[in-house]
Order: sequence, then C-alpha cells, then structure tokens
Amino acid sequence: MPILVILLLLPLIAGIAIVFFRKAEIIKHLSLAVSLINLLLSSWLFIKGGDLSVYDIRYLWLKEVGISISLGVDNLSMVMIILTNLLMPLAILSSYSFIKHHIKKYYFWMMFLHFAMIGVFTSKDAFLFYIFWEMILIPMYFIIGIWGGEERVYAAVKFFIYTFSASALFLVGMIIIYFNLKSNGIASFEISDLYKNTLTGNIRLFVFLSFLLSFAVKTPIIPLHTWLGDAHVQAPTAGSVILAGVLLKMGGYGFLRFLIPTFPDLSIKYSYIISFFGAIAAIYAGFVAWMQEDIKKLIAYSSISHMGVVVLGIFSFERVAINGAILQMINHGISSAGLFLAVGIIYERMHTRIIHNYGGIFKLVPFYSTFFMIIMLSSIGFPTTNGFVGELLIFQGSFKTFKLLTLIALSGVIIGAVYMLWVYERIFFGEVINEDLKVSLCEINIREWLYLLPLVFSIFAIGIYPDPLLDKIDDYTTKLLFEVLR
Amino acid sequence: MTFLTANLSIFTPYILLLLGGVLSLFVWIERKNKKLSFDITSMALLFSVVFTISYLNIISNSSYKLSGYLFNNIAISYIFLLSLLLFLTQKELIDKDIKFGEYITLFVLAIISSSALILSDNLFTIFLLIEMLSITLYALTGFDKSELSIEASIKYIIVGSFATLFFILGLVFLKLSNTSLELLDLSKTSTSFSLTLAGIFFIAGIFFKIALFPMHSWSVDIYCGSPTYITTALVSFIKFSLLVLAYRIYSVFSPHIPWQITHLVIMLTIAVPTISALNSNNIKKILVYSGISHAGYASIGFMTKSNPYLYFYAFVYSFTAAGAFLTLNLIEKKTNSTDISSLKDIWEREPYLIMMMSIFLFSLAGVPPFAGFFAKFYVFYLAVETSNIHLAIVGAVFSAVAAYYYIKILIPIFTPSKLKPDTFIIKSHPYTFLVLFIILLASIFIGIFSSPIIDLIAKTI
Repeated sequence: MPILVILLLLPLIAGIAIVFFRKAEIIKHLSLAVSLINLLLSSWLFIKGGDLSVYDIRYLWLKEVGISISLGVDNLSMVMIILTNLLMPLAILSSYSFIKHHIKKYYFWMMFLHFAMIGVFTSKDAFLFYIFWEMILIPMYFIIGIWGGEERVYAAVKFFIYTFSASALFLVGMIIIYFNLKSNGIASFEISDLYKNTLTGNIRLFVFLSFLLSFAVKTPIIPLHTWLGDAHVQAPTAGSVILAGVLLKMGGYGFLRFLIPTFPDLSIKYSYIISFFGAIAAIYAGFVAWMQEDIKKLIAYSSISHMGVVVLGIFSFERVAINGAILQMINHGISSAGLFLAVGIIYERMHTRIIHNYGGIFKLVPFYSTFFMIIMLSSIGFPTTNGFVGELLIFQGSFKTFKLLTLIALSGVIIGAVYMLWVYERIFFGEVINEDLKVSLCEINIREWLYLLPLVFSIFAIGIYPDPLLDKIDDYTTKLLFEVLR
Repeated sequence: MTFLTANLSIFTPYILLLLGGVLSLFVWIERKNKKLSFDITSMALLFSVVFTISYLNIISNSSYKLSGYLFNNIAISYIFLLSLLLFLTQKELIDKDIKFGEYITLFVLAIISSSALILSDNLFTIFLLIEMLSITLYALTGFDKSELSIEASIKYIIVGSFATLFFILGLVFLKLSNTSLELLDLSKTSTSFSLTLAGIFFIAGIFFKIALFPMHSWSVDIYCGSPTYITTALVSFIKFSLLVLAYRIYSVFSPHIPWQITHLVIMLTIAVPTISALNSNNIKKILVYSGISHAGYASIGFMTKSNPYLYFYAFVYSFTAAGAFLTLNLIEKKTNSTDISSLKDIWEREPYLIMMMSIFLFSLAGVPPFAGFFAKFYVFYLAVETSNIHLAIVGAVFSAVAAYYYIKILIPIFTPSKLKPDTFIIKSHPYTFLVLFIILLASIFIGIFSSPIIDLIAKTI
C-alpha cells in the first residue's frame, strides 16, 4: 500500500492546488486539513506498528547513475515524521492571524516545506535524501525573508548560505562512496548500501568530515551555531516553530542515519571531541541565553543548549543515552515549538519581544501563563514532564562514557533552569508596570487553545508514561548499536 | 562519401533560413513592412525546426545511426527550437525599437552558423563558420548604438580577432605537417610536435570563444555591454553550440597536450568569476559572471571522450540562462536599469514574474529539485568517476559561494516599496510569457526526468 507516497505527496498536491484558489479562508483551511490528514495517517501507521519494511517503495529513477526513488521508514523515521506532522498543523493554526500579506504564497511555501521535510525522513536513497535536504532551504529562505522580523534579510541570507555551503561537500562525499561501492560490485546510492563502503585513509577521513560538517551546522554544534540566533528570532512564529521543532532534529537524524553507521570507527574515534562541543554548548549557550533581552533569542539559545545535550547523548554510544537522545529530540521539538508559539501569542498582541516591556501578566492572562509555565517546565526538565525523562536517560547513559562532560552538561541544565525561571518571574510575576499591557493583552482565544493543548497533552503523556514511545525507539537503537559494534 | 555529401537534403533548412533572412530584409527595406518581415523569418525558423525533427526519423533508420549524426540532428533541432522561441519573444522589440532590418538577417545568420558548427567535421569548415558567427555577433552586440554597446562591440572584435589568430596558426601548423584537417582522422593520428602545437593553439582559440579563464575578462564587458536581448541569444543557443564544438575540438587534441593545463583552467574558471561577482550590484553583471563560471562547470565534462554529461549541462544551462535573461529583459524594459534595487518596485505588482525569476536563479545556483542541480550533479559524478576529485571539490565549494550572489538578487523583494499595488504592470506580447512559461516548466521538470534525456544522448553520440 503506497501510504508513504500519500504522506509525501499530499502536501505537495495541496500546495499546487493552493496556487489556483483565491480566497484566503479556503487556502488556510485547506492547508490545515491536509496537515491534519497527514498527522492522522502517520499516527495510525505508528500505532499500528509491526514490520515497517512492508511499506518500502523503490522505483528506479536515474538508471545511469544508480539512483532510485526509494522510500521507506523505520522506527526512527516514524518518530521524526510524527513530530513533523504534529507541529505542522499547530504552525499553520498559529499563522491564521499572524500572516497578513501574501497569504497564498505563504501557505504554498509551508506545504512545500512539509513535503520536503517528510521527504528527508522517508528517503532511503542518499541522493534523494540530499535533494530533500537542500529543498528545505528554498521555502525557509522565503518564509524568513518575506514574513519575518526587522533583520529578516540578514537572517535569511545567512541561514541559506551557511546551510548550503556546509552540505555542498556532502554531495561530493556521497559520490566518492558510490564509486568505492561500485568498485566492489554494488552500484547504488541506497543508504543501507553506503554502510558497506570500504574507503581507507585520507579519503575516508575527508568523506567523514564532509558528512560531519553538514550535520554539525544543522544540529547545530558549536562553533557552527551562529546562524540559529538570527534565523530563529527573525522568522515568523510558524517559521521558528518548524525551524526549532523539526529542522534542528534533522541534524541529529543525519548523525544517526548517515554518519554513525557509515563510519563507525571514525565516529567512535572522534566521539569525545564532538561530545565535548555538545557539552560546551549546554553551558555556553545557557550563559548566552541568560543574558538575553529578547525572549525569542533566549529560546533560540536554549535550543542550542538542548541540542548540545542531545549530541552528547548520541555520541556516548550507550543504548540508554541514545534512547534518551532520540526521545529528547522529540521532547525538545515539542517544548521549543510550544515556547515559540507562546511568544508568538504575546508578540501578536504587544508587538514587542523585549522582556522588560512585560511584567506581572499572570493576573491579566492566567490561562496563557499556565500554558507557558507547563511548557517552560518541560524545557528545563522538570519531573512528570517529558524533558525529565529524556535528560535522565541521556545523563544516565553518557555518565558511563564521559564523566566530566556529563557533569559539564548537567551544569548547563541547571543554568537552563536558572534563566528560564528568571525569565518567567520577570514576565509573569510582580506588578503590571506597563499600562499598554492592560489594554492590549487579552486572553487566548479558542484557536490558540487548540494549538497549545496538544503540546501540553504530549508533555505530560510522555513525561508520565513514555514506555510505548521508548519501546519503539529502543528497537531502533538496539539495531543501530548491533550494526555499529559489529 | 561522408554522411553530409550523401544526404544533401540536410541543408534544406539552412537554405530556407538564408532565403528567409534575405527576403525579410528586402521586405523591411522596400516594403517598410516590419510585421511581414518578422513573420517570414519566424515561418522559416518554424519550418527548420519541423524539418530537422522529422529528419530524425530518416537518420535513425539509415546506416548513419550510430556514427554521431543522430545526435547532431537532435542538437540542431534544439538550437533551432530555442532560437525560434527567443526570436518570438523579440516581436515587440522588432516592431518598436529596432530601426534597421539587418537585425533579422544578422540574427538568422548567427542561427545558421551556430547550428552548422555542430554538423561540421572538418577544422577548416569549423574555422569558416566560427568566423561567420563572430562577424554577425560583432555587429549584433553594437546594434542599439549606445556608447556601452559600441564599446562592447569593439572589444568583441579585438578579442575575436585573437581567437581567429589562434585558429589560423593552428591550421597553418597542421597544414605544414601535412596532417588531415578532418576531425575523425585527427583523432586517430599519433602524437607529434606539430600536433601538440596545433592542439594548444586550437584549444586556446576555442577557450577564448567560450570565455574560460584567463580569457574571460573582456567577455564580461562584452556580454554586459551588449543589449540584453542579444545577451540572451549569446548565452543560450550560441553558448550551447560553442560548448559542443569546444568539446569536439578538445577531445580530438587532448591526448597531445598536458592535462594539467586544462584542470588548472577549469578550476580557475569556476573560482575567479564567482569571486568577482560577489561585489557586484548589477543583475546583468552577476548573471554574466555566473555564466562564465557555468562554462567552467560544463568544461568538467571535457574529462572523457564521449560522455553525455557535458551535453546535458550545456543544454540545461542554455535554457535556464535564457529564462533568467528574458525576465531580466522584461524588468529592464520597465525600470530602465538592471540594478538589483530595480526589483524593489516590481515585487508587489508582479509577484509571479519574480517567482519565476527566483526559480531560474535557484536552478542556476544548483539548488534541488531544479534542472541546474542535476546538471551539476552529473558533472561532479563524472569528475569523481575519472578520479578528478579536486574538480568536484572546487565545483561544490564555489557552488556554495555562488549561491550568495544568486540570492542577493532576490533581496529587494523582502523590503517592498510603498507604491500602490496594482498587479501586472509589465505589458509585453503574449509570446514572451508563453516562452517564459515553457522554459519554467523545463527548468522544473527536466532535472527530474533527466534519465531518458541522458540515455538518449549517450545512445546517439
């Protein structure tokens, strides 16, 4: 049953259909409907479980160079697809009131972005993966550039150039592996075939570094993180949600799918350095976030700090830690998406993101403040929320391999709690100093309830009963470690 | 008896085009009827396209099927088709702006010579046709008589004369050593001093023509100075036929010259114009510099003797660049400048046009899923296949650098002007938009469906 083709092409078809409609209402509702259908389909597929390889599709595409359109999922891809399909309807719902001009183009680019993201997670052919990986840059460039904040031009150009340059050498590395495989008799770009490469010496190191570079910029790993501070802040709310929620996870996905299985020995050899940068990210980004005046920039740097912890988890090569890292990727997707959505709500009303313009708004918008509190607790890893489970698993695993780095990263988590609680206190507690707040800040309406509730539900569901999700993740991790340790 | 002498009917479209060109000049001058003039030429071009496409059938059933003539025919039909499309977009131009009927005749002569270059298999014929092409282009580049275009034209004459000089020297050396001038015979001759010398001259001459480093510097001024409608023709079908020709000449002489020179030239051609374009704020200059670096990418395809990847790259580049320059032409007509800031006023009122231009720019930059990415991929594939990984690395790195100036062109659309938004302010003949739409579809889908095309090229060369 070609369910993967439906999941992949439905947003694209909706995007093309949008070009022909005129009324904004129809366009908005169509995009929402399509993303919800995608969510239902992928959830059904995930809950059904069973052998996921029956859904594999392979169609020989470019015969002369051995490339096929090969789609398939395993547990890791499914988890990422669920995250994508969960965040897209929320992003679209939040755009209803945020996007006021060039509406048709906006929803077209969002649908195209959705298509490209699903493509990244379902492609089993390396070339197809690369195509979708780069295809994401086009809609993000336009979304940040047209509908973003004041410095949007700088942010959009920086984001595009940074990410495009980093993955340019990935293409060359991929072709090198292909020819190495061809000399051994396998002539295909399938990802599972890439694992069988027999490269040696300097070429092997070069290809490893080219892979590492492109995923390190996406994750991001310090010192390649500077694009994130601008891109996340200047993007419109939905853009930030997708950037922080999904695009960052693609870096982690790339590590797990490409880097580690293709070069297990080199990954283990350089795991200390990479985890070192991950742990440093947790502390350094934490300190930078502490000092921020702009809420969105604070959340952006907290994303860097979280992804640093995830990188530490992945490269400690412990089963528990990798489970935690994958789970934490989902958790961070949910919590940072929630934070950006929440900031978007007050930004729409007050048109400012600077923290000292706010104060004591808990009395004015109690429901909103409660939502913000729950999402913030998830972000700092408070028990009963999903963040706690993820971080606990990561640190439990990584402590076995990297004691010092785990301690550093733990301090980073503590710093995270510090600045988050401080921000919360400055914005929500105390006296209402700013008179404009009393006038303009109204309570959240039904549409906003609708997109905040699923996040809160997931936060507690995963926090209290993570087993169904963790079991599937563990299936994947044991398979990965078996292949790597072989 | 070669294919050409056995089947003289292949010359029918050329004769008809020549007659059409001369007749349209006559009609223009004597009858003062520009419309009829235009119609005669477009009819002649249309006939040529139809004829060459139907000729494919005859060749594929004859014994010449496997000796490369089928590919020649396909390439010629593509050149005629592209030049027909470009000529159609110039209808308004011819009706209003062009004052001299020689324009059409010169254009037709350029088409004839560029397409006949693909048929020629004798170095002397190649020399004659290149001269014919160059002379028509010297006149065309200076056609609107502005200071800039006359300067471009004179520069072209000077540079073109150097290329001619190299060609003649090559011919002299070959004749002195009594070597045959037929390409087929030359490819079987063993290395000798005269062959090496002649090879260096011929390759220098043809590299002059396709503007590889270090012969690219004046061609920037030439392409920039000439009127945009001529630059469109220059970068599209003329560049295509010159690249095919360069490949043929290079394949013949490559065993006799040191390979390091070519590699160095290719890498510098990719790198230097890319860096020079970074500073520019003029869309036309950026596109011209990028065109030179694209010739460098295509030249990566010189590495093996008959691979389809160079032809595919030249094919994709020719129509994508044509699309980009056509939209630039429309923008220039409205705002009278090709500066990047002229896009500011157009975005709110012509969003579809700007979106089309952005697709052409992304295709040129090599962003998936557009055709330009696939062309670059095939060329990198060839580079790694022939163990020239350094070419692939330089190509990939400078693709990324080049992406900056492509998206720089699009920056003004992010800060829209405060003008009143009434859409579709650019009025042009429907032909222009039809042609742009065809090229847009090609840019989006040719990459995805590149397999049958590569297959076809590989089977027929």
